[in-house]
Amino acid sequence: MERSAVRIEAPNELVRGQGQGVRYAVWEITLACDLGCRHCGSRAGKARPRELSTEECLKVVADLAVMEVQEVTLIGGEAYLREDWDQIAKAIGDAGMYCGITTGGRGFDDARLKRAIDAGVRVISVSLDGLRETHNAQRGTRDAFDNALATARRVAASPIQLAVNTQINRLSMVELVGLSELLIELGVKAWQLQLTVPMGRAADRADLLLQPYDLLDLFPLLDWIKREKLTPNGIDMFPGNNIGYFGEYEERLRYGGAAGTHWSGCKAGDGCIGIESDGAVKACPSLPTKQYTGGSALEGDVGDIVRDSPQINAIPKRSRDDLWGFCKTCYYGDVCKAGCNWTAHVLMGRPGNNPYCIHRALEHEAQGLREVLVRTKAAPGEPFDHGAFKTVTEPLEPKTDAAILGVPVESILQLRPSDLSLRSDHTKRLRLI
Amino acid sequence: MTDPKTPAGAVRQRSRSGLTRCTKCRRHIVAGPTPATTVCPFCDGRGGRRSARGGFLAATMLAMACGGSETAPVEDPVAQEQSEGQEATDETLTNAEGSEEANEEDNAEGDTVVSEEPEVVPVPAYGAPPPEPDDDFEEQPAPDMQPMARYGLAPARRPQE
Repeated sequence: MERSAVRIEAPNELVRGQGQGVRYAVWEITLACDLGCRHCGSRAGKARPRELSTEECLKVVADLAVMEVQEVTLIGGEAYLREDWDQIAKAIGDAGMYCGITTGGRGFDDARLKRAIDAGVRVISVSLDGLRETHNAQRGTRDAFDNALATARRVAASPIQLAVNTQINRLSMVELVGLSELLIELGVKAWQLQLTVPMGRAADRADLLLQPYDLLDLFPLLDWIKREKLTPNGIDMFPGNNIGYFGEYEERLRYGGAAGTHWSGCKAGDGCIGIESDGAVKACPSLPTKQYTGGSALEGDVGDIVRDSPQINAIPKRSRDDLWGFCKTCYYGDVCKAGCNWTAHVLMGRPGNNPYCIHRALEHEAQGLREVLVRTKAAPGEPFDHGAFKTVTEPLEPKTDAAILGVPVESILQLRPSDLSLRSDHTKRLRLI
Repeated sequence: MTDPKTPAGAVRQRSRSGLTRCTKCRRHIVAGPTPATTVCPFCDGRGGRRSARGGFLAATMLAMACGGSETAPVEDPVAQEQSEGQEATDETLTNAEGSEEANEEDNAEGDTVVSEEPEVVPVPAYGAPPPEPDDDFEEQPAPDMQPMARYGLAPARRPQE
């Protein structure tokens, strides 16, 4: 009742019960990219040696339509670097599916935006990982932030809905308040946040990652931002699949949480699939390619692959018996199933035990403990690869300073979009890596 | 356990996964056969045991946003909600002082008090019967969480068509 002045979030019509089929596909249509993001999971840059032709892409669109997929997000690399990207987008719309594009925004100029409008693209999500210096340091070019911002403004002024997505890591976390101010300025409708995890190039930069106990600071921060900045301005916060799980923040941060929606296990293969630009079909676009590819769209129907491949359809069938470590004994194990499979796998070498969990951090905190991630194995250097980490449990010192990651809360709250960065010392160090 | 703050006749949701929310600490908990028999393992229905670190940070941000000093003992909304009708065991209030000793003391005391408190059922004076417990969960649970892939594009919030 007290929130009657603001719009109450409600899950959209995409929501269906579990086991009712794939309704969301994320499709990497090329690995070519015009950015060199330091945290890119697919190590994008050059196109794959064999990417789907236009005809093959249109066949995939037809397959997805038969599966009654409702929404398709085109990603890369950078999707617009394929000449036929808008032809694929139009085919998706013509088949009755909702088409979105995620972009770094470096080259999404007026001409490309017009092509997107003509193709019927409904949503464009621009990646912003911090304010200027922080974003540029992560994205690998000096003009990345300005170009992304220009793209965002262009989209906001068009019929296409604007969303923003942000990686949360040691650089960006302290700039989230400043970023939220920028989102308000831009007229963004949706903000998706996710934790940077050690896949691809991010696996080479362990110092970019949050430690599990940093979630004890992150969740109150997100809660504050949502309450004070986003909701009053009509911006929906979408915590990604690797932000959770349960605890007092679940109903406040989870999209639809106030209406009772809660984390109910990883949706990979059950509601969501990923397709790589060479046709590889996975349960989720983020999962490691080698272990999770169920088949190739070049060789079969996408629906058949999803239905028949254990690499894909076994994930939703997991139970507590498949968990290990802390998650196996967790109160929420039966429902949570160790959260995001991708995150657990690339951190711990296999799914079923996920240290990126607020409930887990709180349980450790209650015992005066914290978990620290220590890298034990480097990644080999291939797309969607990962190394290995182990957790070390150690005493947690009580928090006595008003600071997050060493930055005073006062500075964090006062950060404005026009500021370059809060952590210029940190970004400089990142460049040297 | 009866929640004294739950209005008579109020219905609690039970999700498809069999979880409901503790009316005190708001954590998701496994729903019992009825709301009245559902017990929160985290707070025993008293709303205690919050994150010392999170509470400290929330209070600090709220104080600063309101223009106060960073050590002002300001409650966050949840703390305010929970503080009604309960003893001053909420760590947020005392930890906002920023004292290391206070934190340690609160942690120890909070855990002990919460774990050892017997179940509290409010009984009005003069022998009137206790409030009727909720006898069933809502049969129309909230939708399951939707898939959200990495790479950032949240499933679209479709305009009304």
